[in-house]
Amino acid sequence: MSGFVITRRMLMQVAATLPAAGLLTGFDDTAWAQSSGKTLTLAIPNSPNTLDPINAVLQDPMVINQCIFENLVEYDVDGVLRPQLARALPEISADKLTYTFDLRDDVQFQNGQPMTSEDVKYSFESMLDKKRNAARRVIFEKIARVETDGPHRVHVILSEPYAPWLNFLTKYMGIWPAGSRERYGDDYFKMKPVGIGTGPGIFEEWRPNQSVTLKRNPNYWDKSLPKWERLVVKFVPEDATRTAYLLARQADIIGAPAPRDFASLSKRSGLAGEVRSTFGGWSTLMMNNAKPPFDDINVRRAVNWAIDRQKLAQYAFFGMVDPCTLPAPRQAWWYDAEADGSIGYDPEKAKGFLAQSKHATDAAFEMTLPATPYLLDLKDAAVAIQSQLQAVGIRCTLKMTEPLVALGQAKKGELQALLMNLTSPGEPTYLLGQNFTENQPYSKVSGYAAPEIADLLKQAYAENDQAALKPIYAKILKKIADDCPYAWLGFLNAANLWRGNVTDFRVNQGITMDVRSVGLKA
Amino acid sequence: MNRLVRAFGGPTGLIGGAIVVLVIAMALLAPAISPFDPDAVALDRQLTPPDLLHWFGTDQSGRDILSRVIWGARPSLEIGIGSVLVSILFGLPLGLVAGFNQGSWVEQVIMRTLDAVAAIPTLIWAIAVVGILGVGVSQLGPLAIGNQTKVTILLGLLYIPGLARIIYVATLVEAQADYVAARRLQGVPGWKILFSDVLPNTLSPVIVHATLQIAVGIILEAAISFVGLGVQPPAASWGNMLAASRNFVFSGEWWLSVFPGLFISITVIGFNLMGDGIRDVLDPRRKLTMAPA
Amino acid sequence: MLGFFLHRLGFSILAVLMISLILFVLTAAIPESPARIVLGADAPEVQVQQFEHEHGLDRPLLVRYGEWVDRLALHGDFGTSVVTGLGMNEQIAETLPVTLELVIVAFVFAVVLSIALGTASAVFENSWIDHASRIFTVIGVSVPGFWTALILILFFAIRIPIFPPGGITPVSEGLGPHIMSLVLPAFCLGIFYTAVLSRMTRSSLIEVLGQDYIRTARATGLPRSLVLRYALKNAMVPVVTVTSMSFGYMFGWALIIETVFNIAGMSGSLLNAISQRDYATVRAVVFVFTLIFLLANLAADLLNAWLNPRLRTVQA
Repeated sequence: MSGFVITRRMLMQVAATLPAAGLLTGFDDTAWAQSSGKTLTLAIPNSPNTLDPINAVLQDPMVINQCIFENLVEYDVDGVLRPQLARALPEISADKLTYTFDLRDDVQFQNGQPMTSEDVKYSFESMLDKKRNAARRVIFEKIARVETDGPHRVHVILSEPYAPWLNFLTKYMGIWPAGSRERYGDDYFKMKPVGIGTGPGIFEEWRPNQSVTLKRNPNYWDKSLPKWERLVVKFVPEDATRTAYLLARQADIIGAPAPRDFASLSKRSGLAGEVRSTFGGWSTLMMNNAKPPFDDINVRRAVNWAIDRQKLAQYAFFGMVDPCTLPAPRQAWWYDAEADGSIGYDPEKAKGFLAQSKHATDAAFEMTLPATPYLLDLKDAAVAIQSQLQAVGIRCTLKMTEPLVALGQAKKGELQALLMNLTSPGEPTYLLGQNFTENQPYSKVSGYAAPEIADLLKQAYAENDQAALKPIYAKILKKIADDCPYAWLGFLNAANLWRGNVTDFRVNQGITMDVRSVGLKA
Repeated sequence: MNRLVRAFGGPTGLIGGAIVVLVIAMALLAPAISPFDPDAVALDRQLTPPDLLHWFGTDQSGRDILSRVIWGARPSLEIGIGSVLVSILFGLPLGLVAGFNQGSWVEQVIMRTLDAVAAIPTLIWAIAVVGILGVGVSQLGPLAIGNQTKVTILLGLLYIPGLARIIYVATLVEAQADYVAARRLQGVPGWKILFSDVLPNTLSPVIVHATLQIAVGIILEAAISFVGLGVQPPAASWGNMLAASRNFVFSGEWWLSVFPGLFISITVIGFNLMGDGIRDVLDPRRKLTMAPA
Repeated sequence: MLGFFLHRLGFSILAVLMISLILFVLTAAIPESPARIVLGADAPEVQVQQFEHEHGLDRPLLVRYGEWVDRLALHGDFGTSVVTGLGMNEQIAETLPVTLELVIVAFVFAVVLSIALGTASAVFENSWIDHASRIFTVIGVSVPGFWTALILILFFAIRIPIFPPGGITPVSEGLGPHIMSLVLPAFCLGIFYTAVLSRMTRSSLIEVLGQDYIRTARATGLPRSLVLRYALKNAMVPVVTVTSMSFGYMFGWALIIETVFNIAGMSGSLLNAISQRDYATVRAVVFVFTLIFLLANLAADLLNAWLNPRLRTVQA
């Protein structure tokens, strides 16, 4: 009979305690302390589909393969490129085709074998092998060959200038011993990659849908790391349950905290939290420019001017999206204030554009959105956008679809509009090229391909210097602001919550958590 | 008044009946009694606690929860009642025919098939099948079937065996009654006896079963919504309101979950009490009709 | 009895075959090819066809069904998921025990508590115990389990940290913690059935207690406890069917409870498979659930036949 009594009485308590004291006080003396101060436990929403970096899809479980496998250079938590297994950033030849890396000579694989240039060459060749059908091969396709030059130097030779490839290494590549793919098979890389990485964590156990455990690599080249003995990554899809794990000390750090909980929890004593903008996550309404009503630029403009991005960011995303009107967040080096300012929120202006369009009286479309959230739930935003569009006279119906199905339909050009979160390494070319140039995975999603953008991207590929790149991107952004192919809501923010005893943790601009140098206070 | 109490099998039955009537009236009169547009988004009024303007507070999109609860009664009841109607549509003739043809191959085929379908666990299959079909609109030839309809039909199909068996048993009893034999002797054709004599006499257990099953359907809708496969936003149903509120339990916005939860509970209680009451009146021998799910 | 058993068993096998066919058609006849899911929507048609051919997906449905049944029936092999590349037998072997344990604990909890409540309620009919337990049963069937779960987590895992907020602590970390981690999920899962079953026990027992032979037994001065025991045995006959069927039904609700408590049981496999469009895994998991459900029903029939010999001839 306790069921009734407890439930009702509890509700009364909830009602009584909430407004006054706040519900979440005094959790610090919980009995569910971690068993040992040396085990770092994370809770993230998604299970990995593989631990092999060349096939990894989901951003949050990449924290595991990035602790096992490392690369010549890495994109750090601030989005700065820096050497990892190489001693320094590469020397780039004048024709921008040859990248020369000097390798560290103190690196050994987790099985004790020292890492040499042969391993680097083999790693690239095995990833590029068409028979392997790696999901990420296509972004490294411009690598023509890799040459060794003594045991600690390699030249990577491209078939045409393509600067962004360095940025893609962290997420989609790794270095493994020569011959290891043949010796162990690809399933070994996928399920239990023991001994074949150079990273601080050695794979120990994978309990499907539950957790992956890594143990400390005692021979890690950075002798000060890692500070943990074990790293346990738990998969907890439910937002509320993830929060509960943190509060009950079943996790030291959680990924993708529920937006609503974040603000109150990050201020609580014994907990810490940070939210920071990323450069690689679009939250965007992808309009199919080949289909009515978006075949009329004035409808696309009307949509762009009808959406109140500030309000969405504040109320629908609880600050988890950084509003911007173009694919350039304010903090990014390629941000262009002039282009960004050329679109804004003004319902009257939106009505004006709509009146000029051929769909002035009958502008209506179906907005598809993922039924199960990835990285950030878009349902509340969709509802808000729907009402904002309604206010200027554009009718919109919502259609929830499983993300994979929706993407499949969109890529065939079947959808009118798709509201989606897209991720990429934190550099601008990847998503621009995929969406707005011809014969790319998302070309039919946008139904928009501007030769001008393709040309400008090509120029960008040949530049490694941000100062030289900036004017190129300014032109791209101007073109996009003119044509309004999509309506951007903003860039996804990365956020984490962690317990007070976690040291040296910083939220990663690349979305995936970076815990290699994290420690725990006793 | 006394007669009314007796009609519902006692005071608790009457309370149940009153709840059911009120809830159905609320759903029917939604346009008239709902204080706000249930889908009107007002972001800057989001998550306001209950006050004089918004009696039940507002949700994360600033929508009025009272209005959404009122409108949300519709899909919840539609699924609860609709699925039972679907099961009656198929289950009633099947049960009747099987019961009336006792001993023939017709009975064997129908009942063995239904027994097989009865071995299908409802909730798992509902989730799996909706999951496979997807929550979007499914095209079945010229028909576009929305997710709510899908869930309703699916639950209805899965309910058929339970309902058909009840009718079957009742028909078996009736078919052996003296009056049926008499009618047969008079030369009345079988189908006519079936529909004009047997059918009316089997209806009471059906009504009892149906009433209780509606309650089960409302709970199932909430469960299916919990895994994101129920009524899809922006439309409100009690189940999806409750499901969406789960991210506001820890942050303390209790009104998001309490009100839809309360209405689910009250309605389910209402149907249960009413079903019990009706059973006491119509079918006093059968005490044990309550269906698990 | 043996004849009855064989008859029921034969019928159950028939039911399994029929349901498996429905299940197979549902999960195999969907318009989108698994190849598109694995290779991506933009994969060229040639590649898709090659993939389908390699995995035998281009053969007629019935042939594939035959093969599936054959492999399952003769080798107990569910095969390998085309989407994840994981063996489904291993996956089931990993997750089924977790779900099974949860359901069994919840089931035992529900049965014991419901008999106690139902008996107390019937014996003290219309007393405060009866009223309280009846109110509880009405609430128990009407409050969705996942909601109770969140509230319980909030209070008994976070505010007063007695239980862990989720996950099942492995036995290797101690029996105590393991049991503690089962309490909240088992309670939330069992509560609905406790309500259903205690209500049935109550009404059945009241009916039996009102019958002449019990009244006669009482009148002859037999001890109260003995009479009650006898009455209870008779009263349980109709309850047994629903009880054993509840065991099967519980697996459905376990799905929801496992989600809230982040328990890596079969529900995770099913929901993951659904979102990954991994229909072969959906098929395997649903089949296992259905099999368990069928076995529970079979057990119900047999128990009933054993308790109530008349049924053996009526049905057979």
